[in-house]
Amino acid sequence: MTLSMNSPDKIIRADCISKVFVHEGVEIRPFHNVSLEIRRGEMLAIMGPSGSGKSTLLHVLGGIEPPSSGDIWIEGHNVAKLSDRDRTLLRRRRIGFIFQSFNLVPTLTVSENVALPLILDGVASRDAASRALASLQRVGLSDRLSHLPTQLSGGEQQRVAIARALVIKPALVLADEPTGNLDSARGRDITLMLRDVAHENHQTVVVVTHDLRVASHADRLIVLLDGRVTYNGKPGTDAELVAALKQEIDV
Amino acid sequence: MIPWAFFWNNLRLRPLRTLLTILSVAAAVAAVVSVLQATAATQIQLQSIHTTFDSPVAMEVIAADTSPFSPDDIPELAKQPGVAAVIPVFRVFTKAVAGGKDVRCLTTGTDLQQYRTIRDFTLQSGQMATNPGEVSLEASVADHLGVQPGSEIRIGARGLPWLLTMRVTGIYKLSAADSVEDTSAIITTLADASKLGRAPGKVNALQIVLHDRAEEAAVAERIRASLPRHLIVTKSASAGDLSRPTQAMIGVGLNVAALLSFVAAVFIVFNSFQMSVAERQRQLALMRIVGATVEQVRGSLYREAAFLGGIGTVLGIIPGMMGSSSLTHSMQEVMGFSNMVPVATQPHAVLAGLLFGPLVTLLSVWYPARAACDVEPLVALKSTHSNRQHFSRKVAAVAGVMSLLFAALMFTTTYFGIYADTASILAIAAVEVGGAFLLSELIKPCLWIYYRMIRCFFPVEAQLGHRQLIENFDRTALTVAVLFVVSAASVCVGNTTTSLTGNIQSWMDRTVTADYLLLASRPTVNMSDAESLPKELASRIENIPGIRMIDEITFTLASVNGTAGLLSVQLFDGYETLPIDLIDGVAADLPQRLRSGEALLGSVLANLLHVKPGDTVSVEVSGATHVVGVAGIIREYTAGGLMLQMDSVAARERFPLPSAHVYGIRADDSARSAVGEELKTVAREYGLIFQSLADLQELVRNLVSGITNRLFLILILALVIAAFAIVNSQTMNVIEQSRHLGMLRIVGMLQSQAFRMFLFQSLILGMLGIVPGIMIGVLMSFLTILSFQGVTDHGVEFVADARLLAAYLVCGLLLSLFAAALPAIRAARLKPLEAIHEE
Ligand SMILES: Nc1ncnc2c1ncn2[C@@H]1O[C@H](COP(=O)(O)OP(=O)(O)OP(=O)(O)O)[C@@H](O)[C@H]1O
Ligand SMILES: [Mg+2]
Repeated sequence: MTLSMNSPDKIIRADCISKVFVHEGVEIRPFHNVSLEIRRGEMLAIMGPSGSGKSTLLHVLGGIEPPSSGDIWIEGHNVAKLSDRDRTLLRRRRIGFIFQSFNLVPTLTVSENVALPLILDGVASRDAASRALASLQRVGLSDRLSHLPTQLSGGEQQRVAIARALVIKPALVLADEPTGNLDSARGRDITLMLRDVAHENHQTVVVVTHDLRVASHADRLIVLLDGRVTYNGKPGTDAELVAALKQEIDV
Repeated sequence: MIPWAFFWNNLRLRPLRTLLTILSVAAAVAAVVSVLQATAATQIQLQSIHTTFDSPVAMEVIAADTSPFSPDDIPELAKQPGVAAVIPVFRVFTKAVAGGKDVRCLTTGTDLQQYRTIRDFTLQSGQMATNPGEVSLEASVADHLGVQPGSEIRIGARGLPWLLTMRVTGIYKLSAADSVEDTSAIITTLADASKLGRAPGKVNALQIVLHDRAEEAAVAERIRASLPRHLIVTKSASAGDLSRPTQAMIGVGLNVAALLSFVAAVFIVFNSFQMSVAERQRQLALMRIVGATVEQVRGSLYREAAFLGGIGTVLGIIPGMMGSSSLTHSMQEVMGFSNMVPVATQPHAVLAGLLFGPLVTLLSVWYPARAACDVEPLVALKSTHSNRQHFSRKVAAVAGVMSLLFAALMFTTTYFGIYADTASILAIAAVEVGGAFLLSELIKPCLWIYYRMIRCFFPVEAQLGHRQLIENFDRTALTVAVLFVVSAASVCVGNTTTSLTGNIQSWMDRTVTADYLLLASRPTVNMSDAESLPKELASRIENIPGIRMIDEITFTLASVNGTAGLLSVQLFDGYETLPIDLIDGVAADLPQRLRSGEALLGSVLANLLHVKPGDTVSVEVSGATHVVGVAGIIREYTAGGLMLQMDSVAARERFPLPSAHVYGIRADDSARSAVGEELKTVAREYGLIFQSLADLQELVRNLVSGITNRLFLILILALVIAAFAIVNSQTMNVIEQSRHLGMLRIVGMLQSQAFRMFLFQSLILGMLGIVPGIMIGVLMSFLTILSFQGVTDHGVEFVADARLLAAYLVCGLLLSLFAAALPAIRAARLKPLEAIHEE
């Protein structure tokens, strides 16, 4: 494993990363020359208009998609230099993903979906099940253990995904619009939960969101626009932010 | 109408799935075409054997006391329905003398014009005798006597005080097959032969040739009814008798193979389309939600199926046509199989392929297309496969039970002899189909057992793989059904083939134990005056060093409960194991029972008379009648199976019998070839027929090997189809799971774990399909052999070839693993995000 020259309190360091998709000769550049450092125990929100490259950035930061140029260090490992096996183990043990959609394996029950990273890691099934139950309790779904994903609502599926991301007590949680399908009360609960995870357990949480209220709970906010980071700082008050975003979107 | 782009993108965006679907149709069409082609080739080969070895003479009318009779006694014989020709013959054993040399030989007098229609001569020189006072000689006799066309020879016969002087007009050779059956060395006119036999103007047999489609038994019955009391109808013995039962059985076997390949092809195609549609259920539901009508959705599926089916059919026809002929070719090249008649492309096989491809494709898409549209679109959008499994299982169970009921019905008709052939073949196919449908009921419990077995080795992979199989029950059941069907079909074909060839081989091994045979003439049931071996011969050959044992065999015509049969008499004492192929009776009791005068009956004769071991029959030989116990039933192809064997001493006490017709001679291993050479000299000296075991086995082997090679060819085809089906269905199983795999990979499944999970699945699917497939295949093979009883009275013993089955199991499972390994590696290597988006 390659060690970075980063200080140990940085969980992620992105150095001049760019992403280019080429499709039938047309180049799409979701982001360009982005440099970023994320501290342990920090809750970071990423905002930006639809199609601005938020999800892609999240995938690159989590090491499931390589950048077209630039380097990513996760917990001191240069992701590009890791073997597939090491990258997989890193994901399995250190990173929890929550996607915008397609989060769950449709043929596994709720409890199995949550226990999946543990099962894959060879944790004894009884142990895995009880940890899955604990995780599901946190998102308020402990009564739906044996249901299949298709028997849940979109928001419930999203919460199962959150439970799964948290079950391994990951160093890094990457969440792509975790509250997109939730009502405001639930959304707030989940956001607060993610913040607690970051502050109390010293885990890092990166949330992509369209919701200013979610962003306002974060320690730091990044706004992505036209492939560049146009804002990197405190979320501040709602009103200030709305104004800032509106202005940027109008440009 | 749903735009073409939708249809086109569906194919373009999923190239592997499209390819596999096309390939499955192509393989199915190729299977149908090549098996039909191979079947037709085998039938043609059978016919060529038929015409080469089988006598066109179906039966003969002879006198009950084998004395000559006047053909004018029965003038109406040729007018009987089904009778094509009635050929009068007079056969007499003679001695021909020329230039101080003499030879004993059979002389046949006949109407040459008619005789030529049933015997195949090649004239070496001169022309055939047609006028009184003329003879034609068989080449070896002419050689021995040193005569040419134009020479004169003198011919004498037993009881005739003088020799007739005749002129040789021609020298001929009989075809190989005819020479087995007809040992006539001299052919002359009916008038001269009857003079030699001291019965001028009479005949001693009327040979009856039937029309192609005549029912032999029925014609025989009508003729029997029209004959005066002193005349009887006998079955003509011919070399073809040896192959005829085999032919009939192979006919059944071929039809079974053809039908099974058809069933397998249907399952392969159905599986492809079912998977292809089921996988797109959400997509189709979405189309309907945005406004596509059910007709439009179905229409687009039909259009797609027609397109893929069309391409597949075109792709399959060519290899199908080439498959069997190039396989024939390579078998000849590689394994040195000769005597496989090259066969031109059969139009009906190609036509069947052209019809089968599109038709089965459309039928295969019809059901899943209907099922997909039956569900409310919103339900379909949300459902996983498991929501629909109940429905499918009920249908499958009903279809399975119906198939088995149909099979039972067909077997019942077979029992009552209604369309026995067709019914039994349909029944066997129905057993297979029924088994395939009912198998889905067994999947869950078996899956659980297998899972328990494998779980301790790879707990994670087994658990996840197992869940996928359970939750995608439809897909699992279909894959298992395809594996089951192709395994059952190829095991059935394979095991039947080995049973059949093994039987012929074992009959030969058990009955032909002598190293050499010396015969005065060949045994036929209608020989009026069969020549015995010269008395002095025994002392002449006894002195040859190296001879271990001489068995003296006598043949004579006998009437058994009123039915004509051939009685063969020999000493059974000198054998460690009796030279018989016993199919009913207690082997240990036989020596004692035979010594006490009981007889062994050929299975055909026994079935005709409805007797079994322990019963008695009344046997009449040359006026002497005795009640004889039945010691056992034997498989015997000589004399069409109308055989009766007795111990020499016991038989001679009861019946007046001529001395030996055949010597079976066994030599010490070290002296075998020397003894053979010596016996050849003796045979030439006495004008006898000499045969070595090797010659005899060669003859029989040649008869059947052309056919068995064909059967092996069909077996290879079946295995190729099975291999393809295994590869195809296992590959599909893996690529169907790409998306789930993406998710699993993101949450931390290693490539190696993904790979092992797929291997686990393919192993389980393999065991679920192949193990019961082998078991049912053996059952079907048993039923096939059982249905042979309907077409022949020679019983064929069913043998489950354990080595073949084990080899099939191992190869099938290895192939399953191998087939899954390649797509599994590909899937495991996919980037997780790509896998998620791959649909
Ligand atoms: N695999 C891909 N191939 C080509 N283009 C892609 C691919 N993935 C994303 N894009 C493009 O990259 C851009 C950024 O996409 P991304 O999904 O990151 O946007 P986003 O900010 O998450 O949008 P949203 O808020 O709607 O989720 C989009 O223009 C998208 O079309
Ligand atoms: Mg997004």
